[in-house]
Amino acid sequence: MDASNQEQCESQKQYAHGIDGKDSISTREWYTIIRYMSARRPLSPQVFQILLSLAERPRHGYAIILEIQERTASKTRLTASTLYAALKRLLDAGLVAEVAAKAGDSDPRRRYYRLTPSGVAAGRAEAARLDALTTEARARRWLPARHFES
Amino acid sequence: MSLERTRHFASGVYRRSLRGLDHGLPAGSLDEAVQVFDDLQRDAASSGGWWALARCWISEAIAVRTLRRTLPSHSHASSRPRPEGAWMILLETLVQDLRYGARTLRRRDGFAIVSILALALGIGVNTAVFTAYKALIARPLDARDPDTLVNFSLRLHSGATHATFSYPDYEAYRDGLRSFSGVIAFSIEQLTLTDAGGAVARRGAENGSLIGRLGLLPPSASNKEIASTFVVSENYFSVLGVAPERGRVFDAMSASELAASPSVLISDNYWQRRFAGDPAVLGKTIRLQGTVFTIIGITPADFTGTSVAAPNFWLPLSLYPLVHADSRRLRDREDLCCRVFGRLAPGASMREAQAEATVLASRLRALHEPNSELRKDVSAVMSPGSPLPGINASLRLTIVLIMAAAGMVLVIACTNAAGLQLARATARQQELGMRLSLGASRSRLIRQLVTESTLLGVLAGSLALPVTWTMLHLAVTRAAEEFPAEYTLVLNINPDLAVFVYVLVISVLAGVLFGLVPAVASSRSALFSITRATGTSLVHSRLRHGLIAAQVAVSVTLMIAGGLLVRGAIQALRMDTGYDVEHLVDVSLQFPEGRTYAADYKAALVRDVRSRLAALPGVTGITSARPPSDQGGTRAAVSLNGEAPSPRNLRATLYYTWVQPNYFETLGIPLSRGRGFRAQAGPPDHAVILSDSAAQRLWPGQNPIGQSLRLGTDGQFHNTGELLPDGPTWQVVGVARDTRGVTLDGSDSQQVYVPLPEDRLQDSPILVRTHSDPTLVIRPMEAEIATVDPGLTATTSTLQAMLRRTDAFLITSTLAAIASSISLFGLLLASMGIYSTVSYDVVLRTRELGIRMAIGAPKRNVLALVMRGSLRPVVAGLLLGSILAGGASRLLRGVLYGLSAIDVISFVGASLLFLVIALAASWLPSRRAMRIDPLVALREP
Repeated sequence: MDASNQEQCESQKQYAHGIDGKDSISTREWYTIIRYMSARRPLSPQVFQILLSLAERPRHGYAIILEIQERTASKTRLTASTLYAALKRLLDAGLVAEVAAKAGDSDPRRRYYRLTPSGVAAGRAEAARLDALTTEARARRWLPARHFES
Repeated sequence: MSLERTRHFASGVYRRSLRGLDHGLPAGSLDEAVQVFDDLQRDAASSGGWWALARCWISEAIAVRTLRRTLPSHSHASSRPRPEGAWMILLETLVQDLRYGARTLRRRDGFAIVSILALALGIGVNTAVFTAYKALIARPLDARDPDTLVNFSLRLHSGATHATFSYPDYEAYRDGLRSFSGVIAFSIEQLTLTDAGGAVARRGAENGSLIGRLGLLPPSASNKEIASTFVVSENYFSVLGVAPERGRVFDAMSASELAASPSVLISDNYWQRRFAGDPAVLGKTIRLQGTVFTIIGITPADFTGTSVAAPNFWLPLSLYPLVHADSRRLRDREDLCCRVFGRLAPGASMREAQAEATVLASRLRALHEPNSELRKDVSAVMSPGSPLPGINASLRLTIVLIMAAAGMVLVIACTNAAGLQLARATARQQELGMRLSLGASRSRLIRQLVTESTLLGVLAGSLALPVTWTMLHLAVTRAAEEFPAEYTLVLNINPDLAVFVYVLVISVLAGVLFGLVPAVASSRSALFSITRATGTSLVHSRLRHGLIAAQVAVSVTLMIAGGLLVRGAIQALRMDTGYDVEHLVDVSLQFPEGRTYAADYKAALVRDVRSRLAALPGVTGITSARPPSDQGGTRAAVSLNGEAPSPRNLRATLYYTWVQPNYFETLGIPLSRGRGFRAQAGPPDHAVILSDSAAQRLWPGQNPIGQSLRLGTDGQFHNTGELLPDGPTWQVVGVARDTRGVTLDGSDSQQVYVPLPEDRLQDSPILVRTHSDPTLVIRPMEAEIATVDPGLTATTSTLQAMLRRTDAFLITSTLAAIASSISLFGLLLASMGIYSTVSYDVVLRTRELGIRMAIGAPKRNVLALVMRGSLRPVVAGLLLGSILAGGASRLLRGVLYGLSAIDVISFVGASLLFLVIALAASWLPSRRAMRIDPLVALREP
């Protein structure tokens, strides 16, 4: 692992603290983060969308589908099976975790999911990867130059 | 199924499809996934209906499939065994077989194309017949909720069924039955239309059209508009539950209002055609038969009500006397004018309704005339609502025969495809043998082959459906054009669920039928072929020849039956009618409406016309009378010995015809006894002439000359001012030979000829006898009539053409047309079968024939050898077919006209024709056998 990577990990750690409200990240979580970062494996668009949708607050499955559909103007529609297969992978990887249902929700079948620090980290890493890609595309004028607010 | 129920059903399917995938989902989240799926369905259904719902299912199905594929395979094995395991295996092998079959078919495209074409022909003919059956025979009434509508009919004491009722009887049913929420009456009239303004609608079918050429159109009166009118009870539209497109219907008006301002409805079709959709037509007045009517409403487009065609106008039954200047129809209990339909009251069953109506019908018996059939025992019969006036035995026989013929074409097609399949299996012997020896079970092999043939069947079905639909569409468009322009024929031939299911079922059935026999046979011989390389083709070629014989037999049966019907139709025309049909023209004159033409002025006009016509070259005789080929005969009750006709002394009800003294001479009817009428000035004697069968009926075994009789037309429908033979005592002076009538039962052969007074010439059509072809004289005759009075309308028709329009001829000829076109398809298929089988035989025998030629057999002998071999099954099939046709023609006897069931010409003709076609079909491939190069043939493995 080189120095710059180390540095990135450091910043991830601080961000995760902010979100999770916990003081420390467990070893297991560190392991996951490092594995994701080092592998530099791109997340699938659906998984990335799910992470984005959970970034604001914990949601249940149907709310995730609706939020993604609304945000992308129906360009991305998840089916029930896709959602739960993706959630299963995210749960297994420790990127999301289940939280207790809200007090107001009457339907006992609804399960709520939140991001874990690893989830935030993986999301950020993916965003950074996409950003790097678009920067390169912009440099080749595949995309219009960005107008900076200055 | 409602949207809601479909959603629940789909959720259930989804839950089952996730079974075994639990390990791919977060623990225990299966319920939630189903819940989310249901939420998604609900959203889709509320936003985009069925379409969005279907899209939701498809994307979900793709997702589940992807999920299954991406899961590691060991998880499949670890999932608990499913109860539907056996089904899944069957399904999997089915999919496997289908894919394998599709691949094989792609490789042997020639074989597949021919099989699919043959089957598509068979399936297409059946689909066409089924669709036509649905559109014509099994069609419901054009109404809201047609399931609760019923047809009324009466079963008479004699066993016959009557579907028409008199108006007083209809009123009794309408007011006296509790099991119905409404009872309606319906009758059809052709009325003359005047004062309509605008452009006169042209006749759609002129003489150039097919129906016109066949002489099936009623003669057209050139300068008069005919309007088709459905005369219906006032509650008609409300009972059928149909609202007018514009304006209002009759029951929005009271009876007194209707009588004060006579009203009609116009059909949307006629409104568009005749008045170009002009909205000002509402409130416009027109004249029907000279009476002024106001158009108060427009019925919806293509609304046919209780008929199969849309009329021009709808007239309320209470105004009927206005168009016939006669109120008898609404009072006469013996005048069966109307068909009656009813809507069952909620909760009432057809059986209850029938019982109640029977009680009422028995009560009405007492009100009928003593000699009426309705006076005897009657029972009411209710049948599901249909525009057809009841399916009688001969129509049912016709339907069964046509269905059977179509079924036979399918059998030929299946046999044909089976022959091909068998030939193909022979070529695949190697492959099948290999699979058997590698451990495939025989049943597995049969399943494989049957799956392949079913695939072919379904492909053929999916080809046949659009082609058939297009053809039927063309046919219906054509038929609608040929239909008299006064009506708009409405036939719904769009394929619906029932047609789809029908096609699917017969396609699969055909696939299994034609696949099973060759599959069983070839899997058996494949077993042999492992040990013995040859010897299997013998079994196969026998089976193939058997199949050819079967095809020939069935298609010869069809051809002979078709030939019999065609000959029957020709016979119906040529049959001895008892008078000269070939040289006679009927000229009917109509006097203009509105102007006052006094009776003697009319008579003078007619005399003028007659003298001018008689002077035309080619005219040899002229008389005034209703011709025997006319369908509208008049009847009177006959009593003997000078007594006034009354129910007590009624001897018979016979047809009577007013004739002039030269009638018998002009029509060529010889007198068998006594004398003719004397030509004399002044009123004629009270003398009548009887036909042979009438004399036999009135005085069996006695000499009728000198006897007397009286005629009574009470209780018979007639127009006001019509000349009636009531009153005087008539003396029989002669007996004439029978003429053949136009009623199906032949009752109008019994005629009483009454002398026509000179001053009533205008009541009867003029009959003109010509020297040569009467059609040549028609044009000059019409020109001549126009010079007498341009206001006169003349309708001319040869008696031959009139005969062609009679029911007996129409039924026979329609049946003949259908049967012969179906048998043509059969012939086509059978010759295809012969051709392909012989071709295949030649290919199989290439080596053998090569050897024969190498050791010196002349080409001619080789050709003869192949032809002999291929004609043997054809001849066997011809013999078998003749026997079958003998049986079929016994069935046909009911509709055959004066033909013995074993008609030599049809039998020999069809067999010879078939033999010639079979020779041609086998000669082409046999010629290829002659051209085999012995060297090449010997080198082949």
